[in-house]
Amino acid sequence: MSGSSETNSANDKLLIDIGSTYFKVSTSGSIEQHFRDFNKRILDDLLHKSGETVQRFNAKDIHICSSANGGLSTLIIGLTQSYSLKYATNIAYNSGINVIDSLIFQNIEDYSIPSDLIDVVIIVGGIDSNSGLFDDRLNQYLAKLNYSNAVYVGNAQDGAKMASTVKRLVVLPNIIDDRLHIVEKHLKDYLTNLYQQDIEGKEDIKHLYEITDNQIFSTPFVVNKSLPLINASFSVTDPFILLDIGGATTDVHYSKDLVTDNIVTEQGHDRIVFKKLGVYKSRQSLIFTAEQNEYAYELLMHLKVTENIYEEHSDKATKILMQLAIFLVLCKMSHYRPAYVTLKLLAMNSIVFTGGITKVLNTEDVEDVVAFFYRKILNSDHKPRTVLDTNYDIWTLGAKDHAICQ
Amino acid sequence: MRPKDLAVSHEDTIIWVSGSIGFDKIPSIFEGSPTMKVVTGVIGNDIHVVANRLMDLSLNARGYEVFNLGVNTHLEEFFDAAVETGADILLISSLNGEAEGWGREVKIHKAKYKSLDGLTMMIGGNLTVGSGNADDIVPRFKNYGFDLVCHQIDLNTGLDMLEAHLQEKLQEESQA
Ligand code: B12
Repeated sequence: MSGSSETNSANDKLLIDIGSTYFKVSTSGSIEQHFRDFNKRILDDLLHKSGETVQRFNAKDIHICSSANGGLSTLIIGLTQSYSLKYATNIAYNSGINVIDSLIFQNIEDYSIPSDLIDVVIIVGGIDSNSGLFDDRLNQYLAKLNYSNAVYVGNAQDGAKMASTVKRLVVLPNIIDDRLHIVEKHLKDYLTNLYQQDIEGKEDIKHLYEITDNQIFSTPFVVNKSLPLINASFSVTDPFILLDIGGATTDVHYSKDLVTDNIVTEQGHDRIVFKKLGVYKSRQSLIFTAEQNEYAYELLMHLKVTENIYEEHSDKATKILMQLAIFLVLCKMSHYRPAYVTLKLLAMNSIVFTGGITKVLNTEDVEDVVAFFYRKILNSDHKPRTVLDTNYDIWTLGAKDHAICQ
Repeated sequence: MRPKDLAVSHEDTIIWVSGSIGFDKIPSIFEGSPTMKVVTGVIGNDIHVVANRLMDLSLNARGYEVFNLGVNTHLEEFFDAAVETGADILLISSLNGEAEGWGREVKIHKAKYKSLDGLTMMIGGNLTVGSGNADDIVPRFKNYGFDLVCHQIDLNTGLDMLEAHLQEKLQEESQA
């Protein structure tokens, strides 16, 4: 990566990112990264491994972000795939929330009730001049569901009625306007605040306030902040995607130019999370996804290994799993295995990798998989520029930008 | 350019649409009843936008509330938009010859929705590849699930047909 984060004005700041597997500590001159010790409190672990560095800074100059809690989970109940569910999903991802499921209200009886606790249920549907779209089946479903918060962002008339029947329901303005366009603000603010409160409420994170005077933010929020700055600072050309393949989840941030879609939002970059795609905590489900993909086997052959690698716990196995993760995510963003958005990957000029993956793979390893994907899935020799953010410059950029703004 | 004329180039062709498109407010035949909602757009990968723009203006002038999904609209998006808006009418344009392929899918897709039984379905434009024969095309598309089929029929004639159809439907409903 061409730019360096050292010459920026926030020289005297210490930036700390707590992830589910690693934490990293960045000063103007260095970046340290450590595997977390799960037998220790985060603060103790941090002070044990990077105590000297932390001690050199005042609490007002220490900025912390965290994705350690894995983010909040949401279940979305909407009327249609193309509007209510799609809009709410988009807003949830952009607020750093993980969508665990979305269901169409007319078929609500056909869905099973998730057993896990849902942090927030989003209910949405209809423009304001439409109403009477939800009935008692909604209450029956919610009564069986284990959730902490519920927010209604559908047509105004149904919201007014529902407020009295659904427990703990927050009613906000409709996210679909009278022209069927998306309105992000209210739901996004609500979800971002909820995430923020969750981070602050986590016991483990609370202790971190002993070393900082600043608010602790969610990592996706910080990364998203850096996206508009990326091509000004690094040799990345628009449109691009940024892949953050971590221990538990994979985050994809992408330029809006890559989407052919009915969603017209104000921001230039959107985010999507693949919750069960990671190389440590989510290793098993990554392998499961690979086994469902007919090309994954070919990729393994191409990488000169067999499926036995899934059983191995070695550096080599981690490397192969990371390469598989890249391939599987690209598949999910393409027409081959469409997730909720499909990207025009042939129009993509750069692909940026950040997170733990950059410590394991080199440019050649990454380019090899990307080329394999384009050849096999898209039948093309297209070769986007690959950029490895080995120094966590992107995160530093977002964190710094944020630190300066505070 | 004269008012209400539109010039579009197709390779070397310039076509002029002129005369009585009539966007001035026409008194609605449904005076007194709630405004009818129409979802409209051009189906499939079709980018012929001119008729769609005219359609939007004409429908508005005739007093409908219009939800225009524009070009490149897929069948699921049309139905989804009808659900979200509570539309009374779905009015699809097709110009580039894709209509036949989509037409066959209409029944299968629509059957997935539980709230679209009362939706009036209309399609118009060039409904086949080449010129085609309306006598074959109209019954075929009716069989696909459309109430009104306008192959190479001008917009205003088509919208008059729609009004007549809706009036008939209203009468039937009031008698029932
Ligand atoms: C302009 C034009 C283009 C422009 C479109 C620009 C744009 N963004 O709109 C460009 C150059 C991009 C283009 C591309 C193509 N075009 Co072209 N195009 C035309 C052209 C010359 C005029 C269309 C137009 O705007 N007319 C003005 C509007 C007002 O009229 P209209 O579209 O006919 O609509 C009227 C009626 O049909 C009716 N109507 C329309 N919809 C509905 C709906 C209802 C419910 C009702 C009641 C009435 C109704 O109301 C309108 C007013 O009366 C026509 C030929 C022609 N002279 O009609 C070909 C034509 C439509 N194109 C044609 C073709 C084949 C193509 C291409 C496939 C060419 C190619 N090989 O690449 C591509 C397809 C691109 C795509 N993905 O869709 C064919 C379609 C043939 C067919 N159906 O069998 C035509 C008929 C030319 C021909 N004779 O071969 N095209």
